[in-house]
Amino acid sequence: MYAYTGKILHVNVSNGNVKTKTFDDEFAQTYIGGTGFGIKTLIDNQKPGIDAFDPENPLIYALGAVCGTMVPCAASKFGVFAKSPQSNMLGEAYSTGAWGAELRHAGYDIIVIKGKAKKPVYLWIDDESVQLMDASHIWGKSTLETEETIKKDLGDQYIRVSAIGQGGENLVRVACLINDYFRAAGRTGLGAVMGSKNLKAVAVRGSNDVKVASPSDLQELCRDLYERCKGPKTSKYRTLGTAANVLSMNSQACMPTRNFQSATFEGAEKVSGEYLNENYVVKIQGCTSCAMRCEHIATVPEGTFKGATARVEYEPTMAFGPYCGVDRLDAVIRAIELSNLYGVDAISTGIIIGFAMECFEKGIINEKDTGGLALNFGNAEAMTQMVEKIALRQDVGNIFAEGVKGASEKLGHGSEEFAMHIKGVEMTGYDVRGLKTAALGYAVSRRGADHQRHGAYGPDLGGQVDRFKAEKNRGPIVMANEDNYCIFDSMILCKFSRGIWKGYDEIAKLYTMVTGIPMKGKELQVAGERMSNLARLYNIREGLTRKGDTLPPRVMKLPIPEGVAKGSFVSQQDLDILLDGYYEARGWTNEGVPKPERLKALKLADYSNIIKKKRESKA
Amino acid sequence: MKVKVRYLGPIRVMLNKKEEGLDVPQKTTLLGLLERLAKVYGESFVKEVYEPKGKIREGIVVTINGTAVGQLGGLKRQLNEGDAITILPFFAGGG
Repeated sequence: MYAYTGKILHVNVSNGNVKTKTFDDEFAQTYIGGTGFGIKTLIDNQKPGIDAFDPENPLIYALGAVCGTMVPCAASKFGVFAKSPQSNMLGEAYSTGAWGAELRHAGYDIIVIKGKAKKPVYLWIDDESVQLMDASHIWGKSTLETEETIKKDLGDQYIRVSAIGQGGENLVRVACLINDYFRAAGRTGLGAVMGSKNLKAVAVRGSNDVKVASPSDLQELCRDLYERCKGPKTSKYRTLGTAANVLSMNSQACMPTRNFQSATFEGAEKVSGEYLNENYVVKIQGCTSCAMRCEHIATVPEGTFKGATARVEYEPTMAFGPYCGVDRLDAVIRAIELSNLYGVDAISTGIIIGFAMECFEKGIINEKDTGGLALNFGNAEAMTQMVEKIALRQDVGNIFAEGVKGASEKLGHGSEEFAMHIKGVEMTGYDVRGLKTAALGYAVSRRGADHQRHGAYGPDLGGQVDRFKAEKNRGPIVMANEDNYCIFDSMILCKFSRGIWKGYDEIAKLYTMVTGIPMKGKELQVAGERMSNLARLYNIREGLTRKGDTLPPRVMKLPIPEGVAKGSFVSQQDLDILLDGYYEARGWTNEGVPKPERLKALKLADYSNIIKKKRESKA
Repeated sequence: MKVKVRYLGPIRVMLNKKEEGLDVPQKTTLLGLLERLAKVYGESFVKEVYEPKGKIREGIVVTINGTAVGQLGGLKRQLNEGDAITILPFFAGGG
């Protein structure tokens, strides 16, 4: 086997049992890596219907197929999977940095962690040596302190650490995993799953070589890919970075502002990528083997938040900026830094705080609840303090630590009407009321509200379709994008590089050069469809129905109040048209259930019992 | 006739300009406008914004009065007095 190690490490943290299993070429060819490996391993290793915090919920790490090789912008990517404590459905998040490559060098492609330790532990993988180490002294510490302490304790600065902060320990439902100081497997609350196991971190050191099947051919292709990475298709990522989206989204009236009360933010210039780069960015860096270098590291030079340092992207800038009515980048940088240190997803945390601010302004919570914070929109200091309160479950932070969905259910008083989540997962930085292809992508996204499973805002904003119109033909667009993204997240290739690739055929060629396993572009495309269907089956098994493929009430009732998208919203009729078109494109029933013949064609017939049970329960 | 051009993102940094007003002949198309701007700002403008064959580059969106030109007939679209053209980058999410 080339590139792949063919090894799956199973660890039970309850009793310290460790087993290594293997997989063969057929498994690799069918599920590729990352997304495919993760979803397949989850559905096969998790007892249906269990709670996300049940010790038997497996926490899974899965490497991309080309991880650990010279392939640009892909050399260290990995995914994390488990049943999500937010959606009670598929939890998945991706990260990069250097941790993934280290795991492959240590000799594993997948880790499956089950159980619950009696006292805090961390997992230490040093090539074949796999141990549970005492983590009592780092329990209660930030992700940064955890990473530094583990490296110091084990006497090796090159150990890579994926850790939770206090957020994960406190079972905050939006808790994430942080590796390599700045990189997050952020979404769907997987840090809380790790915390529920009394597991603080997974530390890795590897010394094995990663061998590829056709080194000379790969070298030649990679040389070309590196050149493409330096070209105009990626230049925007290394110049201003994704934060430049602030003004773009604002100009298109799709900037979620003040908890979706507006779609344009009057203070956008002050939190723009342009302003950020001029005043705060101190360094631009990249991941292992990256030829694009998109990471914009920003430091606050003066004032209340002097010294705060974070990697700044569009999404958290939107969440802590316009979403909270805050026009101060120093506070945004501090809030992102705190999110990283406490280990909470910066996107979801910002969205929760925006929701809390509206609750405060509507009198649903008051200063007594907030511990004295005047939690009005625009209060930058209060916003940063709320990050801590949520991560530490202090005061009303204890309620908001349940996420927007959980908090709204506890708070009541009509707050459900402005709780901005899909399937329990907080919205991200696109106001989909005026982006109807994206609205469909969000509604059907397998991990809840998300732009990353489909990228369906592309055709809307790019003008390929009328973004204000709901049409059945958006179904095939979303389907094609989802399947394509499955492949990107299985190889795993950085999505920022997507413009440089010449379609499935080239990616398939790369796959074969790396792994030696024959692959054609069309087969890769089918593999993407297979993954989308397997994810759907998993979610159906855990309780998803058509009713769950929906949008937040505010998206469906409150028209955008101003700007070029003024008056737009997604009615139930719009949503039905979109869903019908999508299910039809996928060959699913109008209830969103895959059909047996399609499952057979996708080599998923083994999972037919899930849809059979569904049909029986309906009957 | 008078039109206004607004720049966002890397284009703004490259040109060191947020916006500008221009006088263009009647019936000027969007492509005509971009070609005129290319004469002023040079090859780097073309490299970032459009392909001379008449296509906007991937990752760039051009809007006229807020509507993406893909919905307005593309670069052949004729401009009108008072049109506001915005050239903006379009980012896609990462990991």
